[in-house]
Amino acid sequence: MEYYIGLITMSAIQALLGLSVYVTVLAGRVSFGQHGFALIGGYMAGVATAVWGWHLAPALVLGMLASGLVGLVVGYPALRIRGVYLAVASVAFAEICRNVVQNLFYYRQEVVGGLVRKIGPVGHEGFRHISYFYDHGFTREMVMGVILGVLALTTLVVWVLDRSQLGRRLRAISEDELAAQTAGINVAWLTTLAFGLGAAIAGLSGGLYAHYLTFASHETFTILMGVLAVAYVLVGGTANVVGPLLGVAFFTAITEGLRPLQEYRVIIYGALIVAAMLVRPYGIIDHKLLVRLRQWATFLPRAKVRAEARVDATR
Amino acid sequence: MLRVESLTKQFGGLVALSGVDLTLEGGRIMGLIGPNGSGKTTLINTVTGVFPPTAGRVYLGDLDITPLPAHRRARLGIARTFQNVKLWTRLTVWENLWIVSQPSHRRLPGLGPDRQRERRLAEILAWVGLWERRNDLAGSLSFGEQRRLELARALAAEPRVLLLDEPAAGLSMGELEDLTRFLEQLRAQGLAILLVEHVLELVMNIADRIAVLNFGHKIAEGTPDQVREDPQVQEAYLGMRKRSAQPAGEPDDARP
Amino acid sequence: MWLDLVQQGISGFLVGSTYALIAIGFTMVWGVMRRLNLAYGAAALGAAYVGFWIYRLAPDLTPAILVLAAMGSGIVIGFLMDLVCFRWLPKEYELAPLASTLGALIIAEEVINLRTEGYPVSFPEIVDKVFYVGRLYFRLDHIVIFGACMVMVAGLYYLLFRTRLGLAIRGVSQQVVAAQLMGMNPNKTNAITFMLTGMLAGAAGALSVMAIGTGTSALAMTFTLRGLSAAVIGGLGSIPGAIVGGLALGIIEAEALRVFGIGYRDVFTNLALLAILVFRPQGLMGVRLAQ
Repeated sequence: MEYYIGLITMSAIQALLGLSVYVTVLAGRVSFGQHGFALIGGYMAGVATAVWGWHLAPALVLGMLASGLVGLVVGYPALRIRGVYLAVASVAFAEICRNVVQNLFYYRQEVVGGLVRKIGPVGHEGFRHISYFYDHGFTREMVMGVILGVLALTTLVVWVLDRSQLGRRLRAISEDELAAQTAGINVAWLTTLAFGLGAAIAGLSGGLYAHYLTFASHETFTILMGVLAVAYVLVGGTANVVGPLLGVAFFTAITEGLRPLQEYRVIIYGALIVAAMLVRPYGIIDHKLLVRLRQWATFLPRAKVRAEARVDATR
Repeated sequence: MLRVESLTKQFGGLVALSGVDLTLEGGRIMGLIGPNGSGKTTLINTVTGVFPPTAGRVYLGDLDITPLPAHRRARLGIARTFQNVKLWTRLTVWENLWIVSQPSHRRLPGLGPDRQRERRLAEILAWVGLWERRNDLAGSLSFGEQRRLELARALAAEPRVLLLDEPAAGLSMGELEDLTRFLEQLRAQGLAILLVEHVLELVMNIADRIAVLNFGHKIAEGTPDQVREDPQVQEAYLGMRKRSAQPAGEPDDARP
Repeated sequence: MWLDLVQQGISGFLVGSTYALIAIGFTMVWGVMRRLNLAYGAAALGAAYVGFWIYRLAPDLTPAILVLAAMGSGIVIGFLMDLVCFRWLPKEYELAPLASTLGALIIAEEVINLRTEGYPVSFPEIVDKVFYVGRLYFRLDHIVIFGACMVMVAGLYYLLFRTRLGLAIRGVSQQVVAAQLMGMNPNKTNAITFMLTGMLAGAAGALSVMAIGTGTSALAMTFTLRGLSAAVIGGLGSIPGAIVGGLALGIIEAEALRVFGIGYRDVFTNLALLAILVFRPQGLMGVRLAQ
């Protein structure tokens, strides 16, 4: 039971990071460096609770603000970069984050049971004793509950965003930027916004991760993490917010199903990605499937197009 | 309504437009013809703001819009269609229009559905005959339907100026008649229309005035009859006809 | 101070030649297929390891066997990668092969990890000499690598510009449809491109690891990042660019190490990369592309 709680909690955190990739993919940009923003959010939120004594919620918000702000700042020059170049740039950015954090020292000292503890980022050693959950008596079930709750809320927000005019415009930008520009869509502003939003969500994921592990360092936010986040979205499908969630579920289910092969877990991840691209290159939920699903579930409104708005054709 | 003064556009060593003057008036259709490579699409691109001109200015009414970026010009009422249909294929027909349109005036957002705006878009869709297809992905439309959607999308932004880049290419006779009818109705509504076309029958039939470009220069302007008689125009086209059939049109996003 | 600068510059320059080899692989696949093979660095390391395991069967022979075996396995790995990550995926969608090569990268790195149980592996040295010119010292093995790289690049150029095969590759890279009409088979040329770059990867990987001395699975990511950065700095699609980019990256890295120390070296290198991407995305020698 313990084991499954841990599994679900980790999956939820991964799913959050996947959602952050999804938001930037909406604008047509694939960022492999979201773990960099997660790192920023994690450290920021950790400092807030462990060093300054804040409560979790405002701390997480602060983490989101910090990473979101960096996302906006970084997103603007990134406008001109797309595709492959952005992939490289995003990884370079995340690497910079990881390196900077290795040189960061900001801690207070505490004596616990005769031993001196350093609470805060301690350069290369990382950031230990992010013990908010432990100090406030959260059980593992409660932590899982909190994280699942945050995931549900974020999914809802992203879903609403996706269906809104903003979301549809982002998709238009990703498909044909020139047409969008000449049709009156402010491409620069919307894309930067999407970047900032994705970064904020990544920061949220990082903040929760840091508190869950009670530890954060340049080694907990690895390139593999950033890469897998993208994989979840690409495998699950970019047509709908459910895509990244499906991606995470898919990966988790298969690795769990192949539990006796635990030590090959990472290879299985890689193989899953390769296999998924061979079988469904556009993801599990691609646009065509989405349309067909909507046709079945006709009680779900497609867009608010009311029948009474129809006017007889003048043809 | 839309005025272009001494418009010049140079790409490195290539002069695509050179000192072009043009005026579009509301309720009139101005045809723009010329051999391939004469700068027709470049003109549209410069007017809509895809790239800045090397020299010259663009005026919308009294406003000098030359320094404005593309999306601002669109908001001010300039719309265009593309030679190669540039729809958002992964969005539905309805969404293609919706994201281009603006919320109705004097409305507070979030107070329930914007019925005025929906009605407007529904009218446009019905007018081009795509209402039944409103929930289908734009990518699933036939070629003729996509052309109509391009036009509808341009209209969804409530433009005052409409720039059409070879809308007749690839259309059947019946579709051509529909297009002619659409254009006449749009003209009657007071839009200023620029019609760039190779299909000369359409242009000669429907345009009030025609301008002719060749190698980036405007070599003639006048009524269809005047242009038809103009010796310079004939020579430009004759020269082209001698070189036999060429692939149609210049690329839309002709950039260096 | 000047001595240090020049010294670091020289060793950076020499090390940069290995980056250049890997960069050439990235840039060629990009040039021919407009796609990025993210697993290329891992392939280089994988080929190096296979070469090592083959070498271990007869360690009394010269270490050159390692390099040759690595090149051979690189050819095979390259072919497989083309098949699984590119040929069987839709041509118009660039994200699918991107994800797929990522998967391959993950697989390759982990396979090495498991096979060696996470322990670093000692690779034999190429040569163990160092010599001095005035007060500057040169590592002979680095010079050998540099020389080997130049030889391979020369060979590559000969292939691309003096043979029919090379013509086919260049033709397909510039105009796929026209090339097809002329009877060139893009699938075949792509496969050959992959096998060629695989061979280069094997050589680059083997030589690099031998120069470093020990192999670990983490090198896969290092090779990938360095090689990709070098290719981007020099300009994707340009082979001279890849060479220049690799050498430049080597120098930048070495100088950054000297000035900033190991802590901030990578920050500086990455910032340099970002600067290039933002201000001159076509790289130092690339042609302005419409993206």
